[in-house]
Amino acid sequence: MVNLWSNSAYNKNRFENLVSPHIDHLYRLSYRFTGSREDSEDLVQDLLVKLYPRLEEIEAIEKLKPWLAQVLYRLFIDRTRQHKRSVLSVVEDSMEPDSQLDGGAGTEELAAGTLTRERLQESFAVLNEDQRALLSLHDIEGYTLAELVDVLDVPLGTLKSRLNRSRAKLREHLSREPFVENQRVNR
Amino acid sequence: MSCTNHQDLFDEYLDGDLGESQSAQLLSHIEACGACQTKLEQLLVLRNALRQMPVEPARAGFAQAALRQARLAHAAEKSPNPQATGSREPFFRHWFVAGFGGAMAAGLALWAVFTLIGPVQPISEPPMFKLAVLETRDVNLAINVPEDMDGVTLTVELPENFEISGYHGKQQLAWQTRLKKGRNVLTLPVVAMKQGQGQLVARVAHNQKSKLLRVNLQANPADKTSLMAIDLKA
Repeated sequence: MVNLWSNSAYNKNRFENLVSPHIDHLYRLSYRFTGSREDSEDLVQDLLVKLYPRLEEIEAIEKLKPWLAQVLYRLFIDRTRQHKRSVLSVVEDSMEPDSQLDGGAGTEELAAGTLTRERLQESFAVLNEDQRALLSLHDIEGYTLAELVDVLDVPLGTLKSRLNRSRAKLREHLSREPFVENQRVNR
Repeated sequence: MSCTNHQDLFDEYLDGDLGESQSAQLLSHIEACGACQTKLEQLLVLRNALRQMPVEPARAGFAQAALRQARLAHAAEKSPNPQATGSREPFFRHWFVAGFGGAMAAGLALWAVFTLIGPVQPISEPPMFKLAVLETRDVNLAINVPEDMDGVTLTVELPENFEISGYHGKQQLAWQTRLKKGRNVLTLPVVAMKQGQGQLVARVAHNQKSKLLRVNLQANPADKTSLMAIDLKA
């Protein structure tokens, strides 16, 4: 006879033992993707709800951390796209630059070591969700290109060009004149 | 190779994705070229700054609450009692489901309606919502707003014999969110912990204006027949 209660408690422990060590990392990754605590908690909780019934599949995963990152990334992208459709809202993407500003303000700030956290966060937030996720995974959280080929399920060449475009967009935004610095405005 | 050619390789170099000979050639150029040295330093500064961008910590107890919610959602899905369905949706769903509508009550910033597994109806008096002890059911709050609103504060207060699934022992929950123009639906998976009555009070506040939403809750004794059936199976 199967004891449902014991079995349920056993499953709970198996799931928690496997997943708990990764929750902090998943939350941090979610925060990088979404930029807010509420959205990050929401995303991680949604992920756990979806994973719970897949206990046996999870147990068979050799490298759980990148696998979890992959599921989280897909969930994030799906939800973001669903959200855009459901609320009929347009998230403003970065405007294209009028011209490339080689040696612009952002470059000066980088050289002078005066790049502020706020300015970086503002520029990071301008990236679209794919670009933010990619830079979060690679440049911030240190996933290797080889790992990301699996996580994002894209060929290495595609991954590199997406990464380059994301970095270029970030740098381009940083190179624009900071909005608040009146002294930079030409009269 | 020109400086531009060398600089095109910087990201690959920092990624550790450049072969040994190319790396050596690049380093040799950088040693002799101040402009490229500066460019590389800038990239390093940017990467370090990215890694140091702060992460606001999750609320205390979040991990345990999220694990519990996952377990409850799974248990509810497998429950033989179709009414005892817990929500698969996370509680902190502040990406509300936006619908259509947008009617406003005169003089109020917000016009609120409840939907209790049924059609939308304007509030007249607090509706009664009955559930069995240990049963989880969704209470859906529909909030119509005339325009997009950022920085809306939602507060939910529960009587002591009720909880929101996944938030054990918390009688008051508050968080900030945004509302989209039209109808926004917030789903609260309410659990009856013990027999009794009480009132759920939700407060929606925005720009010094607020609106209270009330739902009467009644927890009845659990259905002994179904409990017996579960005992027998166990």
